[in-house]
Amino acid sequence: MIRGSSLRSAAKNISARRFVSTANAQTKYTSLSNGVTIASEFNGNAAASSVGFYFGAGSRSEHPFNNGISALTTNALASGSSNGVLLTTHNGKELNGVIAQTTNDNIVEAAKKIAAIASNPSAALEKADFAATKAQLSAAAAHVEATPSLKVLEHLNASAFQGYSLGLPTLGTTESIADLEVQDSARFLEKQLVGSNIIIAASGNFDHDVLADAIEKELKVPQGLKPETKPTTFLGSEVRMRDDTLPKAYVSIAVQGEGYTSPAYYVAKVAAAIFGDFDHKSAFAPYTSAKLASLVQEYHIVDKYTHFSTSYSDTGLWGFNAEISNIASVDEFTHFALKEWNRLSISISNAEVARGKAALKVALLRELATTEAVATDIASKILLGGYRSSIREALEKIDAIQTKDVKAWAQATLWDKDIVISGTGQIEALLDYNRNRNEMAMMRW
Amino acid sequence: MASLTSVVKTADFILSRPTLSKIVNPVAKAFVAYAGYREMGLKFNDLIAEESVVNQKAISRLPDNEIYARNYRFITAHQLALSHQLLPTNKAIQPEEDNHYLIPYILEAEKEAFEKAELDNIDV
Amino acid sequence: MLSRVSARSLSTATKSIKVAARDAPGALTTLSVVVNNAGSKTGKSGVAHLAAKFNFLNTGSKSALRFTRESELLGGVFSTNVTRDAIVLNTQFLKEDLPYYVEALGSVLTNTSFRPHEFTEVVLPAAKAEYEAAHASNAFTAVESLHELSFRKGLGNPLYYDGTTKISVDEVAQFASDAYKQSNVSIFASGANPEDLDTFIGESSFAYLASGSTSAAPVELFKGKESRIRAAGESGAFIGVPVKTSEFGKYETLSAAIGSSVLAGAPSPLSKIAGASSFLYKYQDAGLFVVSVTGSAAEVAQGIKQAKKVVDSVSTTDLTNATKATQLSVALQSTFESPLDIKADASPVKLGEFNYVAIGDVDVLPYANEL
Repeated sequence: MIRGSSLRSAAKNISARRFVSTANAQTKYTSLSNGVTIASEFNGNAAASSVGFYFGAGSRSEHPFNNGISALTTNALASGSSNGVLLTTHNGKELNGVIAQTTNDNIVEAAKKIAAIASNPSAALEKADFAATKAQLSAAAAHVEATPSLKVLEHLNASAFQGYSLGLPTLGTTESIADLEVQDSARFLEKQLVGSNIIIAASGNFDHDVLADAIEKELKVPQGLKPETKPTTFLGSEVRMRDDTLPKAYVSIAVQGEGYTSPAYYVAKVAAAIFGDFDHKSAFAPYTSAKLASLVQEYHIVDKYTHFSTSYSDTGLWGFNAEISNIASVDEFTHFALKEWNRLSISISNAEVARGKAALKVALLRELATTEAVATDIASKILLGGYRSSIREALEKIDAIQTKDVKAWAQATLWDKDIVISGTGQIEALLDYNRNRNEMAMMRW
Repeated sequence: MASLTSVVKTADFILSRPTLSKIVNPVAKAFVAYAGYREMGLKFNDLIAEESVVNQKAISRLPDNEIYARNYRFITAHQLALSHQLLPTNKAIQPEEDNHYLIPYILEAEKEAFEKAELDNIDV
Repeated sequence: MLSRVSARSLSTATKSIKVAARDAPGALTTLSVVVNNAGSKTGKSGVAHLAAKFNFLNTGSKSALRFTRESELLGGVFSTNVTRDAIVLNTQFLKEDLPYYVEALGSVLTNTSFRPHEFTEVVLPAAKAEYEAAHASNAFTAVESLHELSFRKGLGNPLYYDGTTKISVDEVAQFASDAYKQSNVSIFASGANPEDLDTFIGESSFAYLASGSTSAAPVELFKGKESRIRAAGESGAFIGVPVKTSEFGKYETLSAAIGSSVLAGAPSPLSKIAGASSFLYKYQDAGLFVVSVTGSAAEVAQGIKQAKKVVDSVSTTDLTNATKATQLSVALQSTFESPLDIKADASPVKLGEFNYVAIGDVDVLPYANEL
C-alpha cells in the first residue's frame, strides 16, 4: 500500500462530511411544449456563462456531396456576435451547436440571441457572410489535413467506417465545401431543426428559471421527429499516407469501441486510461506508471502517445495515436502497444485498474472545467445517448468497475479483433496489416 | 549478484562491532596488499564491474573531474599491464587516496532501481 | 464571485502565506501555489525556468518516481510552469486527496533536493524541449523580443532558459531558497473546505517555509524601439505598447473595440484583416498591449498597415460601444488564481510611440516608420 494512505483515510472522514455540502450541481431540465428540452447546470464560481443551442446532426447526417454542410451552417448561424455576447460553435460528427458566452448578468440577452437564431435560422443565414464562413471552414478543413496528428485520426475514422456517412470528415473537405450553397444550408436546417432534435444546454452562474422563461418566450421551432441515424459497421482496414517530407511517423491504431449508450462505456474509458498518455519531453516521463510508458521511454521509441476511447451514439473507436521521430522504431512501438493491449485480456493487475479508474475520474471532472464544455457535454449525452448521468452517478459507475470487468471487456472487444490502422509521415517501418493484426492475440494464454 | 547495498550494510555491521572488525580489518588489509591494484595505479572502486545498468548510471553521474581521473587511472593501468611493470611505491595509490568515490553513486542508483521494482509491482 | 475568499491567519508557522479557498460543486479540487517574484523577471535570465523544472522532482522525503506513481494512483495531475511574474505549481485531484497534495506542494517548496544528476538527466533536457517548442512559433519569438524592447530588464528577460549562459545547479538551488519565502507564496484552492485547508497547511511542510519576502525590481517602460528578425516559417508584424497597471482598463477596452484574441470569432475591425488580433499581456507591475498580424509576408505587410489604421481611427463611440464586450473579455480571462478586477474605461487612447517587431521574411515587411 502506498505511503500517505493513513493521511488519506483521515481525509476520507472529512470529505464524507464535506461531500454533502458540495454535492455536484444538479442539472435542471425544462421541457417545452414543442419538444425542446432546456437543461442547465448552475456553477456559482463561473465568471462567465454559456448557453448553447445544439442539434443532433453533423457529418454523419451528410453524404459525400454535401459533406461539411452541418459545420458550415452552424458556423454561419454563429457569425453575429455582438453586445457582449460571444458566439462560438461546436462541430461534431453527430452534434453541432451554437454557443453564446456572456457575463453572468447578461444571460437573458444571450438566451434571446440563441432563441432568435434557432427560431429564425434563415434570417441569421441571410445576415451571415456565407462566402467568408465558407472560406474559413475550408481553411479549417485544410488545417486538419495539414496537421498530421489530426489527419491521422480523421482518416482512421474514415477507414474504420468506410462506406458509411460516419466515415466522412467532420468539417468536410476543401472540395466538398467549395460546392456548398446557402440553399443546401436551408434544406439541411429544415430537416434537422425539429423539436425533438434540439436541446438548449447551458451552464454558469444564473437562475435556471430566468433562462427557461427567456427561451420559452422567444423560441419557436417546428415539432417533428428526430431524423433517423442508420447503423454503421466497423471494417478492419488500413490507410497509409506515407509522406517522407514530414519530420516524424504518425500512427494510429484502433478497434471498434463503445457508443454512448453502451453498458461498457466507462469500462472502455478506464481501459484507455490504464495506458494513458505519454510525452517523452516531459520532465516526468521517466516516472510514468504505465508499463507501456516504462518500456518505450528508455530507448526513446516514441515521442508522444495518447490512448483514446471515442464514442458516437451507437459505436466508437478505442485505440492509440502516436508520434514517432525515431522512425525505425515504429514497429517496436506498435508491437509493444498491442502486446500491452493483450495483457488487458489476461494479466492486467488490480493496481493498474485502480490507477486507470482514478485517472479517468479526474479526467472526466477536468474536462468539465469551462461552462462551454459543460453545456456541450449535457447536449451530447442527451441528444446522442438519450440520458445524462450526473457526475456523481458517473463516478459511482467508475468506482464499481472491477479488474474482471476490464478483462471481460477486453476479451470481447480487443482480443483477436480486427483493427484499423492509419499512418502518415515517414511510415516505412509501419509493417503490413497482418503483422499488426496478428499482435491482437497470443499463441499462449 | 548480491547488491552493493547489502555489501555496504554488512561492512557497516562489521565495523560497528569492535571484536568483529578487529578480526576482519587485518584480513581486509592483507587482501588489499596481495591484490596489488594500488601498484597498478587503481583505486578499489575502479575494480567494481561496470557492466550493469545500475553501475553505468552511477558512472554517468560522476562529476567531470572524477570521471577524468578514473579514465586516467585506467590508461595508467593498461600501460603498466602492457609493459609488465608496477608503479614505484611513491607513485602507487596511497591508502588515504583509495577512497570510495563511486560507491555512493551506485548506492543511490541501486536505491532508485529497487524503488522502481517495488512500485512496478505495487498492490492495492 | 469571490465572496468566500479571504486571507486568514493560520497557525503561527505559516501565517504570512496568503491562502484563498472556495468551495465548488463537483468532486474535483484545484490546488495551486503561486510563488511571486520568482518568475523569469527575477534573477539571472533562465534561472527561474530551471528552478520551475525542478518542481515535483526528488525531495528529501520522497523521490520523484514515488511521488509520480502515488499521484497517478490517486488520479491526480500536476504541472508547473514559469511566468514572467511567478513560478506556478498546479495540481488537480479528487477532493478526498487534499492533505496528500498540500503536503506534496509544501515539500516541493521546502525540501526539493536539487540533485546534480537530475539537473543534467531531467531538468536541462525538459527545459530545452520547452524552449524549442515555444520558439517553433515565430509569434512567440516576436512577443519575447517585444518584451525585451519594452522593458529591457526584468519583464524583458527571456521567459525560458535559452542556454546562452551556463547555469549551475547550485545557482538554481540558491535562487529557489531566495525566492521561496512565506510572503511570496500564495495558495489557491478551488473546491476545498477552507477550514480543512488551513489545518492541512498548518500541519504540512509549508510550516518549514522560511519567513520573509523579496521585492520585484522597479519597471521601466521604453517606447519607439524596433527589431527585425529573419526567420523561416510564418511571418508576423507586432506593434507593442508598454502599459502601466492603472491603464489596463483603457487598453482592455481598446482591445475589445478593435478585436481581441480573447473574443476570437466575434466580428470586429481587426477580424476583417487576415491574421490580425490584439491582446493585453498583464503582469503585476506593468502590461504590454500587442497588435499583431501573422501570415504570409505579403499579407502581413499589407495587414499591419491596415491594423495600425484601425487602432489610430478608433473613436470614443467605438470604445463606449465595446463596454459589454470588454466586460465579457475580462470575465473570460479572469481565473480564481488571478482574478481580474478591470473596469471598462472608454476614455480615448492614442497609440503614440510604440515598439515594433517584424519577424519572418523581413525583406517584405515594413519598417515602423512606414506604418
